Amino acid sequence: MNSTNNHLLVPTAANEVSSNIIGNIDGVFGASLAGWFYCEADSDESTLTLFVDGVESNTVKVNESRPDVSENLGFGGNSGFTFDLSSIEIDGVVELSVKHRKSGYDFFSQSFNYSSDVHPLKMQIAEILFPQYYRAKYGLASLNNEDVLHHYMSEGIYSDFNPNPWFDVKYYRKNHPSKKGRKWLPVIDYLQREASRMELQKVEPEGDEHSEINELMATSELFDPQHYLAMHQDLKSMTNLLGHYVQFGHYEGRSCVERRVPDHIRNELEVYQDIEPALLSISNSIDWVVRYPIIKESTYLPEISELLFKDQIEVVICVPFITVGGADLLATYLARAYEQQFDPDSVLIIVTNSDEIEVQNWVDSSTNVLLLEKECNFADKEDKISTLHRIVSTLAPQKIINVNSNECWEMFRNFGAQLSSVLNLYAYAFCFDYDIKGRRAGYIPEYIPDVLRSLTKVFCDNSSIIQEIREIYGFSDDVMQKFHTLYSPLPSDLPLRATGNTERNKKILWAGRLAHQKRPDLLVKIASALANETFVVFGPAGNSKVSDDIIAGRYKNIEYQGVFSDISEIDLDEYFLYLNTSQWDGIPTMLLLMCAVGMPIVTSDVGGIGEVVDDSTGWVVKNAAEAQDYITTLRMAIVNFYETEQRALHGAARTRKIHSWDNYIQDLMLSGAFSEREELPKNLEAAVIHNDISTAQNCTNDEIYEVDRASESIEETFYDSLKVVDAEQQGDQVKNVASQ
Amino acid sequence: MVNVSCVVNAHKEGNLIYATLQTVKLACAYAQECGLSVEVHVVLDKPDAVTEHIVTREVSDIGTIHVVNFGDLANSRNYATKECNGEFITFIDGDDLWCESWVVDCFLAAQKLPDNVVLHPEFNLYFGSHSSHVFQHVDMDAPDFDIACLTTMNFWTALSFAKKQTYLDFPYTRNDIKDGFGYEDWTWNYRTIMHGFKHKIVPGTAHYIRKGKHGESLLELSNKMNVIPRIMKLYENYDAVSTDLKDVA
Repeated sequence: MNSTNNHLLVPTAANEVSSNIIGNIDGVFGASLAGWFYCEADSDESTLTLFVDGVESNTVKVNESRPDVSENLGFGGNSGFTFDLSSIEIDGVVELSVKHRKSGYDFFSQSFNYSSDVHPLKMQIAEILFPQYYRAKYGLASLNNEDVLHHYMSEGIYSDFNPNPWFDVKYYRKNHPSKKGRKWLPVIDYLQREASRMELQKVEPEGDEHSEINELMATSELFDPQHYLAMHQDLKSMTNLLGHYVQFGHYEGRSCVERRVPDHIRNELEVYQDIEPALLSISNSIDWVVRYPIIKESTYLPEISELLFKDQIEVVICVPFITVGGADLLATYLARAYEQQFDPDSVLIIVTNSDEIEVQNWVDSSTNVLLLEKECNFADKEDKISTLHRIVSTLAPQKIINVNSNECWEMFRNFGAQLSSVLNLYAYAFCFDYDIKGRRAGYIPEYIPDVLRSLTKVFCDNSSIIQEIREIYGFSDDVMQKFHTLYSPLPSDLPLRATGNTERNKKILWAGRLAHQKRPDLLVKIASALANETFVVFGPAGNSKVSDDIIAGRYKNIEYQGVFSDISEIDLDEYFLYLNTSQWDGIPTMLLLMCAVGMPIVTSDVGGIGEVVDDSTGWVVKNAAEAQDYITTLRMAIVNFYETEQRALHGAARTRKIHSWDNYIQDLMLSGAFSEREELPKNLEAAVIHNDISTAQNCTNDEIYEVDRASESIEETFYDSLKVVDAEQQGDQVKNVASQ
Repeated sequence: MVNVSCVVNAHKEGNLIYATLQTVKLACAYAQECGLSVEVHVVLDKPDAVTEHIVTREVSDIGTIHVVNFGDLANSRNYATKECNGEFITFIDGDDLWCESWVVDCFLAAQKLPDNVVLHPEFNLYFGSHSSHVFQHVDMDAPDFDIACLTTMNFWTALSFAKKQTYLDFPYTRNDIKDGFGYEDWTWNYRTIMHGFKHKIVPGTAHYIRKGKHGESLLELSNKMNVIPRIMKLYENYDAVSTDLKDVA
């Protein structure tokens, strides 16, 4: 067993008895007990003894490779040991401990509970575990969901932790009075009975189903496997009924415990039909009993978030992912800026559409990050939006800043009025996107008109987009005051490209997503016309029709080099010019970087590009849609290369000045974004969320009264869309599960 | 001394209120038979003629009728609370029905419980539409009650039974959906829990709740408007719209 990958085992001085005896028991892994031990006095391999319930059992030599120990302590490279527990006869739950007899060292009396019945049922245990519930209920928020199984099998099961909301260990123990003491594990007992049921079924497939499940008893007041099986005959061959309910059944609304309206109420219902004949409608569905809660994986995320971050979060930054995109990088800059201005622990990045940070070095290891898709599977998009809202409502920050997260935009739209009444909302707007018909699309037209009234500020990485928004929407001057240009900062350690480097065997660099927006198809035409030049492309695949061909290397003088996350990965000396062919953009991050390092540039002039590259700092192509203009401009840039280099030098100096970190902080400060609590948007406009609301405002008093009455019946609306699986219709499984 | 005040909140239920009043009478009569002292208050908030006529006919000699002009259910309930003389109060809406044992069973349950408890029926039988069904309330002491779930679902209807002082200390607030906040009954449940109250069920009791109410289309509208209750930390300090009891007819 390789212990080096186990997160539990960091050698610490706390384990040290004297300077020449030190060790740690890492824990039980499957059917092994492992750890490390170093005794300077032992000339040969040390020998350790295993004790089972205080009785000496077997011994092992300490000789396994432990590079982690060596790396941390400078010695102990072969200090690992493993006891094979499968060879030991163990009855029920025992206590394991280890001792070095020679010195008497006993690992600070560490001991571990162990049952040989646990590991063989690992798969079944995994099926009944509800990680989010487990982490929330037992304060284990810092565990990953993947770690929950190990924790439960090594510790939780012995501490009578419930693996899910439907298995109550105390209830199970209470209902099995003949089985007492710590030596018996309720969960194992249940799973073993499940296994017995299946074995019996194999032997007697036509047998009385009740006899074979007689031994299978309720795991709590909330789950009765006999009832579950009786109600859902399609599960007869299911090997783990509780596991099925945890994984599927409760989402499907399957009945798992008898809930019956008592006879006296049924009788009263009959009598009351003389008073109210409409009661007849319930007679046929009186056995359709619904009961809260309806639990999803996302139910526990607010609680987990609160455990992780407590009440220290003041700023939440929402971003869809942290890959190689410019907006992703900007979100990390924003986090860093707020960490510097506020308490570093008070900033939280919520990544809404990924379960990992793809570019690890963009985020400091101490930065608070919550990866929504790592925490749970969401029922649907509405579930995620609602959960995001509940998380921020639980953490109660002062500010929420959206950097391109669709879910955050939706949250702003759905709950902007409410959120903006108690905190400041901000969003980044970069540029318009365009659909295939050339119509403006993307987050600006989708959300800005609706959400603007709830936003305190809108940040833009260039001024051109602000002017464009003003011209298109005609917002008042007051409203336009919300828009602020925040020039993106540059990394602090940017190199400066060597000048005088005019060797003509160098290449032309192109970098960006191979998406239609960036016009790699124009690059293909340009490369075809300038066949004597070599074009090197960096960037992820995209929706451009030439994306696959470029990646496959199908163009003679276009070399695809994959993706990079840091400019240091590029040898700038290989290139004599950077080409940008964006059809629409804000200020492309790569263009900014190239300008700052002094790379000569030929670029389109769309969006905010003109605020970085003009005729004094590069070569600008006025007609961004035509390859010929690029070709001509490139030829001019190459012919006049001295001029080209001078422009590049000027561009580097100017860009570094404007896009410095200090300028960025100052711009944020001047915008008011760092203020403890900026003035909240007036609620007059915030009240009018949709046209429907104005309808409600014009309601007569009668209608408002009925809304009051009807709104108390929220359950009705919920259950209108919740349909229980009908046990009689085996093929008609999942109905709708109402969303929250 | 009055043990229990039974409050019927009515508006324009018309003939529907007749069945309600019959079950109220049954419940009160049964409670009195068991030895309890009960009183009945019907609060008619901007009623129509039919509703007022039926209430007057059915209640005049067994209870007190209040005609008010709030146009708001929260205000009506709060008003009724102040008018009640009972140690306990229980509410019903003008088109719903009680089980016969509701009043007495609640009183008996309350005797075993501390004052900071709100009681609910075990079963809610929703009738009157194609989706009639039974909704079983959850007791806070039940194993499946989880406070974490309270932010996503409202466990209990507003038709409760509790000490009069409870309703005085925690008056209902009106739905002010214009600002995006509503579901005041949900907020009330949450607020009382945050102040140490337990919501429990009275086993074996039932309310019969009418579906297909006039105005449910506006409920759907409210749902579409993303109205939320004030039950999370971020919104807890939001100033609820105050109730105003001055418009009493």
